[in-house]
This record gives sequence, C-alpha cells and structure tokens, in this order.
Amino acid sequence: MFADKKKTQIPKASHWKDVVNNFRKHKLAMISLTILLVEIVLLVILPIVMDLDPYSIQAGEFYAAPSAQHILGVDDVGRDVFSRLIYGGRMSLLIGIASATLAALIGIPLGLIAGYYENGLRVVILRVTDMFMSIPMMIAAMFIVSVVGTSMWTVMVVIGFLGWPGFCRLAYGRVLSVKENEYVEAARAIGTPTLQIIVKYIFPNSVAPLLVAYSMSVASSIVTESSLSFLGIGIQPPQASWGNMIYLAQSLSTLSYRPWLWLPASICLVGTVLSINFIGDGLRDALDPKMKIWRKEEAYG
Amino acid sequence: MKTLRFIVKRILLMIPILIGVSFIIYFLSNLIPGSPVDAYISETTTPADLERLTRKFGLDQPIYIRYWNWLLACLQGDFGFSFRTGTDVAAMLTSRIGPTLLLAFCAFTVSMIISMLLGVSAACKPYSAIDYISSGISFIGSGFPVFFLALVSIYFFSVRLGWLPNSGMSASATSKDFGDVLRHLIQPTMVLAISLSGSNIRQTRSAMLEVLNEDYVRVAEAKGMKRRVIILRHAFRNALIPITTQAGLTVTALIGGAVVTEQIFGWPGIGTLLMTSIKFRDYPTIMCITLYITLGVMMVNLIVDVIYGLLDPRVRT
Repeated sequence: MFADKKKTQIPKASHWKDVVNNFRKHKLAMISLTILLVEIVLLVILPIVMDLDPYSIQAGEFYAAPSAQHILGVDDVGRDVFSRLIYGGRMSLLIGIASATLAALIGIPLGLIAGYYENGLRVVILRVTDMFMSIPMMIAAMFIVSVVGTSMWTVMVVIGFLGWPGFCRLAYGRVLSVKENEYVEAARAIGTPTLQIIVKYIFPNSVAPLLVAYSMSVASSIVTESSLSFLGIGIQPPQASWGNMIYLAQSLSTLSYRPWLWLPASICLVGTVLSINFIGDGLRDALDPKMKIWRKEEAYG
Repeated sequence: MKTLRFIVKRILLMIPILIGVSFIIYFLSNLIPGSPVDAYISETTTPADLERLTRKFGLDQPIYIRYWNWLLACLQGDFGFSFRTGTDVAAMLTSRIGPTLLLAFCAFTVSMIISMLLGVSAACKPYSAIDYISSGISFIGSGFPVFFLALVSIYFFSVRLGWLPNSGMSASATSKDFGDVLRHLIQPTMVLAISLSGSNIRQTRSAMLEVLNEDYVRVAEAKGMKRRVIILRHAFRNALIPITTQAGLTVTALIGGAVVTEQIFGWPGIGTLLMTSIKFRDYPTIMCITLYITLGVMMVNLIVDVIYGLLDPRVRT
C-alpha cells in the first residue's frame, strides 16, 4: 500500500500554470497578444528612434498624398499623418488602460463591500449602481464633457468614472457566490477581520471574471474615446487620437478620395480593439475550464 | 394581480433612481462657469440690475431649492427655452423624437431578428459554417466602432455603388414619401443593428447551448420528437429568458449608438439635436435630452422586467 504512494503522486501543478497553458492553446488569442505587444513596443519606441513630428505644419502641403518624405501623406492642415498615427495610438491606448483601471479601482471595492455586508450600505451601493447603469454611457460622457470641457484628462476620468458599475455588479455577484463557501464561514468563525476576509479569501476567488472584464473594459474605453473624438468632443486637435484622425472622413470627399487620412487610423483602431477582445476571449476560456467543455464536447445534434 | 404588484413595485423603485439622475444632471450643469444672468449684461446694467435679475431667476437661492423648482417645472413639461434658438425646448424635442424612435425601433428589431436566427442556428450546429458566419458577424458588431461601420457602409453603398443616400431622412425637407424615407433608413438601421448584434448573437448562442443541454431536451429527444419542435417549442422558449435580459441591456448601447449613427447619417433625431446643442453650449436642451433619454431607458428596462416576469413565473414573487 505504501509502495503505491509514489505512483499516484500528482505532478505539481498550479492554477496559473494551467491558465497559461490553456491560453497558449487559444490560437486567435495568442496571435492577438503578439500583435498587441508589437504595437505597444512600436508606439513606445518609434517616437524615440525616429524623428516624428505630429504637430508642425508643412506650409502649402495640406492633403498631400503619401510620398517618400511623408509615408502616409499629410492631413488637412499639413501635419504628417504617420507621426499622428503613432502619437494617436499612444493616446488611445493610454486612455483605454487608464480609464479601465480607474473604473476597476472604483467598481471592484464597491462591489466587494456591497456583496459582503448585508445592510444599508449594500442597498445604497446597488441603487447608485442602478442609477449609473440607466444612463447610456455615450450620452453621459457627452453631457459631462460638454460641461467640464474637453481635454485628455477629462475624457480619461469621465470614461473611467462612468465605467465602474459593470465592475461593481460583477464583483458583487462573485462575492455572493463565493461567500457561501465553507472556508469563508470558517474564517469568520475563527474571528478573522472582515477586511482580511474580503481581501484574502473573497477577492482572489473573484479575480478570473474580473480580469476578463478588465480586458473588455480597456477595449470599450478605447471605442468610447475614439467615438467622442470622432464626434469632435473628445481629444481636440492639435493633439492626435485615432478618433479625431478618422473625424476627417466625415467629409465625403476625404472619405472617397483621400483614404490615407482615415484608413490607417481606422485599421489600427479596429485591429487594436479586436485584438484586446480576442485576448479577453482567450482569458475567459483559459480561466474558466467549464466553458471549454461545452465548446468541445457537449454540442447538440 | 401578482404581476400588477410586481409592476408597481418596479415603478416605485424607479423614482429614487430618477431623482438621483436628475440631481446629478442639475448639479453638473451648475458647474458650468458663468451664470445665465451674464447674457443680459450690457453697457447700461448696474450691479443693482444684476442682483434683481439674479433674484428674478431664483439664482440667489441654495442649489437644492433651485433643483426642486427645476424638477417641478420639468415634471410639468416646462424645460425652459433653448439658449440657441430661443424656442421652447419641449417643442423642439417633440419634433425630433419621431425619427429617433423610428431608427431605434427598426435597428432593435432587425438586430433581434439577426441575432435570434444566427444565434439559434449556430447553437444547433456548433462548428458549422453558420456558426463561423455568426461569430464573424458578432466580432464585427462588437469589435468595430459604430462610426467605422457607418463610414465603411457609406463608402461602399453611397460612394462606390451609389445605391443608397448617405445623409438625411428624405430627399427634400418637405417630401414625406414612404419609399424615400425607407431608402434613407436602410443604412443607419443596418449599421446600428449589426453593431448591436455583436453581443446579442453571442448571448443567444450560449443561452441556446445551455438550454439544449437540459434534461427536458434529452427527454424530448428520447421520445422521438422532431428536431424542429424540440428546438422551437422546448429549447427556444426557455432560452428566451436570458435573451430578453440581454435585449434589455442593449438598449443603453442602442441609444448611445443611435447618437453617433444619427450624426454621421445626418438623421434629424435627438442625437443630432444633442450634438448641435453641445456645440452651442445650449444647456437647457442638453439637460432635457439627457433626462428624457434616461427616462426612456428606464421605461424600456421596466418593460423588459415585465416581459421577463411573463416569461418566467419564478421571478414574479
């Protein structure tokens, strides 16, 4: 009996190792991750190694087509499109990440608190969440930006501030289901402080769906920022963002005859958003083994 | 009776939310630098005049009293006058609400049809061609910003092919020809519908997949029922519950998307009015539109909850 012990020993495995392995099997997610990483490296390095100037105006050259000197041409007032593409990308990614982080930082703690405490605090938090959720994001963003004015910071804060209810709801739901576990009850029974229970036991067990939500939130923040900029109430020129570059395509003649002004920014925007979404999908599959089962085997018919 | 109580309870729950939202709107618009009195300043105004005007507009009172007066007026349909046109805001809004409702309704319906057809057939045949097509459309819908879809659509259907008009609701302001409006409606509707279908298709598919794994479906299968009957009568009806929830959630996205779509296609609705008002800093109009849209979204959520109650008797208690 004791001799068998060696054979039945389970190989050392950690949850996160499994997750990484599962994620690696998701081809689309791996391709997306590669694209996104290359993109981030390019956005960080190119302005350092190349002589990029997104602001200065080339006199008399506006609307010039791509040439050796300006590989993506020149925009409506004579600025180099390629430089603006790189700086615009920095702006879009920065706002996407910053806004999603802000939303997570507000929403997750509130959701954890609402889920753990069963008193008036929960009611207040949930009602406020309902309130925020019943205002359409774009409308609220447009309203606030129109009041406080447009700048990089306001756009960032507004998108982040409006994005928290999703995180709150998700964290709340997770706490409700995690809280019923015996280990939480045991921790409470031996007198662990509430804050410690939330941070040490409840939060780690809620990380997986929150991580997926975070990646999706980065993507949707980028979309909201570019939509606001596209409408002319987000990032204002001369600062570049992919949204305000595509803004030029609102003119039919630019849309039809000057694709270099809007197509590169559109491709970058869509590529980035899709990549982040695919990475989110890959994460979801990797973190939640249940999803994989129905994907592969339990198909009907 | 039970349903009625459920509805009344939901309506009562809406009131504090609406008050909260309206207070946020009022409070934020009070942060705008400058005061409405500034517009009356001329060379002959004295500080005494300004004070009189301030009192006349009630601006000397604390914010919660001003908010209360504003709310009472709003409830009576009096939203004040537009800074931009000088006309009654409520009247301006009424003329714009029709086109927006038309667009939103068409887009929502088309999106539901697309996502139910594709989602259900994808769930019944996973990893088939139809499944890949539906996930492709779903990725286009959720990954491509609405404005990009609109630009691509205009580029192909208006510029290259010349099939559809790219702007407005009718060829001339006065014509109300049904066919003409329909031609103008196709592009914005399809753009908005595809954008909404992104998440809808996925939700429908996974809802259907979940239901198809239930025991009662297996029982029906074992009894030798026809596939069509199993899918439509047993599976789909149960999948409708999560699908309804999802549909309710897309309404906020629908409204946000409608603003962008209207702006690009020059559709004469609330969205274009909101954009113009923002450009002219026309706050009475902006506040009114924001409040109305919130109210509309909440009404739709209420309707969804009621439908939900009808579909699933378990939630009515």
